[in-house]
Amino acid sequence: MIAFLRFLLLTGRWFALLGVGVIALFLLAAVCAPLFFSWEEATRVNLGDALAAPSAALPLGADEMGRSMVARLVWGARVSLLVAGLSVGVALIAGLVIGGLCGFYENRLTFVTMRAMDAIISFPRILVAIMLITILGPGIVSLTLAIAISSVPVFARLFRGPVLSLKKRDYVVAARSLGAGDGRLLFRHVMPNLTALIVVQGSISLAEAVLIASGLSFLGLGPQPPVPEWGAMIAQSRSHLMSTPHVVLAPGIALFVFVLALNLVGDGLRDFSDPRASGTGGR
Amino acid sequence: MLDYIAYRVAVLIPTLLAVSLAVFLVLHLVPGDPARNAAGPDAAEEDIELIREQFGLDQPLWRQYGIYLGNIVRGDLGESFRTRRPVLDEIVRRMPATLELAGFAMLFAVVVGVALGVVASMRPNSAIDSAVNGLSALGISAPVFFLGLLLMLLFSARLQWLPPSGRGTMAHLVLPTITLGLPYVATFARVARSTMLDVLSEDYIRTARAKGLVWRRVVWRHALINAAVPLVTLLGVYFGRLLGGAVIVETIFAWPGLGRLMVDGIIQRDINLVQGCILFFATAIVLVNLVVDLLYSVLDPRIARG
Repeated sequence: MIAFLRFLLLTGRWFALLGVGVIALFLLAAVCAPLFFSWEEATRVNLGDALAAPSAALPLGADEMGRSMVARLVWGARVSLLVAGLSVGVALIAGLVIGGLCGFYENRLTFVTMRAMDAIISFPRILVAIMLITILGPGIVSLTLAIAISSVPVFARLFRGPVLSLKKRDYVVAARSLGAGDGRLLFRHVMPNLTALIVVQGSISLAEAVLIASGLSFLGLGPQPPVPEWGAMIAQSRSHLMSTPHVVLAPGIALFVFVLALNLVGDGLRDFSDPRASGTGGR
Repeated sequence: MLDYIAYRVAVLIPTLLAVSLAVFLVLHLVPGDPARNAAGPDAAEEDIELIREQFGLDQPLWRQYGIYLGNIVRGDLGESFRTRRPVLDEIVRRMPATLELAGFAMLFAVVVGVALGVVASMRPNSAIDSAVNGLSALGISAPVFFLGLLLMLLFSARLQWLPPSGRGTMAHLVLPTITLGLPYVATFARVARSTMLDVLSEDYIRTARAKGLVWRRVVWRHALINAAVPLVTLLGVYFGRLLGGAVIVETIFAWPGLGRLMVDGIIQRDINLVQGCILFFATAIVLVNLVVDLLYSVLDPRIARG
């Protein structure tokens, strides 16, 4: 982490540094949400304050149900991070296992598995997720699961390639000739080489997961009211877009800034793990 | 070449069969009784039984699939649980709107994206290059639905230049097209820039330049054609994603397309309708990928021979 920050500082990647700061801020908001605002404040309907303009008591005003926008944004950060973090985590592990095994063992079963993964990848992730939510029913758990399952094939394909070539490296062959079993070879000698790939792809996938989660919530397929989710907040307040734009702009800007920060840090991480692949290098 | 086309078309049938089976199986694992869902909360037991018989839901799963497949071949996708109208009619009625939106968005993304990418690659690390780079980072991170609402706020509410929603005139098409296409403008710009940088460092480009051709002509005629191959492959991938994005864009702009139909179907647990929509999207994606692959083999004849 410190090495990464120093790299960003020394190479003058200010946008990526800014991204790290923004993510830290959102992380703080998400983790400490209950310290700042009670769940009550974020969800209790109080029509007296409906669509209130920003004031000292309500720094970003209130939504159409009179709920404090700030409280809902902060709790929304918690929901978004939870859904995106959990789904990417689950998908990473499943993708590593499937991709690792399919790269390590080349037989009919793994061939069929990878073809199935290819088939799923050719469909847009949001459609795969929508199909899964049709089965599971709308909600925060099924949203997380749907995003996780729809990203597994991407990870599996991504990790299989390097495993295919890594397993033929001399040091792996040497370890095998010393009597190391398949499990030891795969987990001790092959997998550790994937760390950089996992970190880079993880941060970019996190950005994608946040976008898809909010998109599905916008469609009404995510957490149900009164749970504050940024996409759902935009959908519920959108009829007030023309009269009181702040109820739509606030969650939208939060979402946009958060995704942008994740992408910027992802780019920074990519350059950090492989400076030759730098996007701005040019020729 | 002909052999290759024949082979690709022949593979189409098992692919579509597999897709229909996958969609059918996934959707029929729905927890809860579809007949009960369709009948509504206070339906009598006899009514539910009637619906179950009417839609064949009392048959074993493999027979249901067999019947479903037989019906598809005859152009019958079943009836909507809700409206009792044939699903195919609903889809055909909504399809032109979705294809129009996706087509225009794709055109917008390719033309603007490739142009930006090529201009950026002509002067790497210049101000134009950095601007395109920055814009594409913004475009990739913008949530589609928020972007759409912002455009609506600016161009419909404040400036009153364009209608905020609905379909009809070309003016109605502008905001949805930009909203759906903008993230892909960013992607195409990025890919076009990096492939162009690769191509521009090739020997034949230096030769073309050395023999005195105008630089702009070298870039747009000689280099772009060779950079087109990876861009064409992207078309197939992004057409699918564009259809996925259309689901959200249609909701924002009240665009009467298939995406909105499908989301309503999910919320109302109308399995036949959702199944028909997903099958349509899947078929469209498979067909577009086929066309793209064939186009690809025209651009690069080595593919068909391989």
